[in-house]
Amino acid sequence: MIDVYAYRTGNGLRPCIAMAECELEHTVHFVDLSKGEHKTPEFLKMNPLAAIPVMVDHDGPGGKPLTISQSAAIVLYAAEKSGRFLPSDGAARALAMQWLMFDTSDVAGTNNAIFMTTMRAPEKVPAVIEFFEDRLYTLFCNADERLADVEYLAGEISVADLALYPFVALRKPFLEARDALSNLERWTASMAARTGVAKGMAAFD
Amino acid sequence: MIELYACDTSNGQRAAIMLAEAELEFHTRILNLQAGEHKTPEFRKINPVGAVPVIIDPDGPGGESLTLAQTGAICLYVAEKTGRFLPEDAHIRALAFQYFMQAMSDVVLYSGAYSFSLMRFPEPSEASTKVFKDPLLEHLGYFDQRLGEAEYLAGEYSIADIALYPAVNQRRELYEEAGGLHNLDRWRQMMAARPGIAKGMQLVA
Repeated sequence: MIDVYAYRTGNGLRPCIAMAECELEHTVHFVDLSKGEHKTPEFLKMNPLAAIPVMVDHDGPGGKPLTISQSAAIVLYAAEKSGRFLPSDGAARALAMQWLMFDTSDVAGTNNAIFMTTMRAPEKVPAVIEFFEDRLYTLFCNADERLADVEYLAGEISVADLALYPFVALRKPFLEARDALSNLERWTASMAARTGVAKGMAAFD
Repeated sequence: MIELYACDTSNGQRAAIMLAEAELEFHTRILNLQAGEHKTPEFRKINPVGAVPVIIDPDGPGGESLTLAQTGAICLYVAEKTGRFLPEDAHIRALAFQYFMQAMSDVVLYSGAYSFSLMRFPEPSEASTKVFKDPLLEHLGYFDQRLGEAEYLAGEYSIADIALYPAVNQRRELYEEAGGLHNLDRWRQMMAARPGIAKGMQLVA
């Protein structure tokens, strides 16, 4: 049995989607960031950085419990545990990792920078916010161009698609306000139609 | 022989030290970021997104040539190709992925955005740079704490250490100003003394 501790953010939804898509038995626990539930002594024992998501696999490697944080690491762990969403072909596997890191270093990072500059910064500097917003849109354009050639980011569906989806889904209004990206839209619709993706996205409903 | 295209950034250093640590033969081509050499039509044939680092491995999976972007994906590919720096024990492996992803998402984001805020904020005030500097120092402090209980991040030497090193090296002054991080500093010196690290850092100086 796996426990996932998360909140409804891009990073928080990743393990919810991955566990559901990998069909691993799991329970999602809502960590109310607005009430500081990520800063309680119990939570800090799981992740001293007070950040969601966290996963506890009570039946981890060697039958021992395993606690890890970092959404992309949790997605990889679920994929390896279930033997799914990691292409067996070497080249496709390398591309899956390339796009997983694109999702993680670039998309999630830029998305977080927008949050920091709009919500956390003491001064809201329009030029800086615009820089990060333009960068996020450029990254979505990169994914759109890729998806013109292939159905899924690595060719076949992989961890890369699972890790990107919640960021695209939560940024719907952002994307609707800009030039349409038809390939990304097609991909978004096919991802949304998947049972596991839908279940993961509804984890906090 | 593997071709590495890189700029003199911490991501370029990550790819170079990974290749050197894995003792793969490679040739480094340094692109001039200021001159936009990563955005030329020739380079876009290699990486349409116009981002470095990129490797071309003529002896990729199945004996075919593989072109791969994304720093984190290059590290993972090299680790899998050589069977090194990815712990075999599943528990330690999951931890290696966790720290690796923390380096490739949180640290890369805050360190990059901190540099950006110093350059791009119209008048970089203490308050507007703190929004990235504080979480960067928080993450470095967390690594310091971890390195107080383990020699290397995952327990044994792994891709997580390789991914973190260039940022720690780059931010040495910053954490020394903030009071110093004893365990992180011990680890930094131990890392610097490795021949592969020294060679890679020298290639992308």
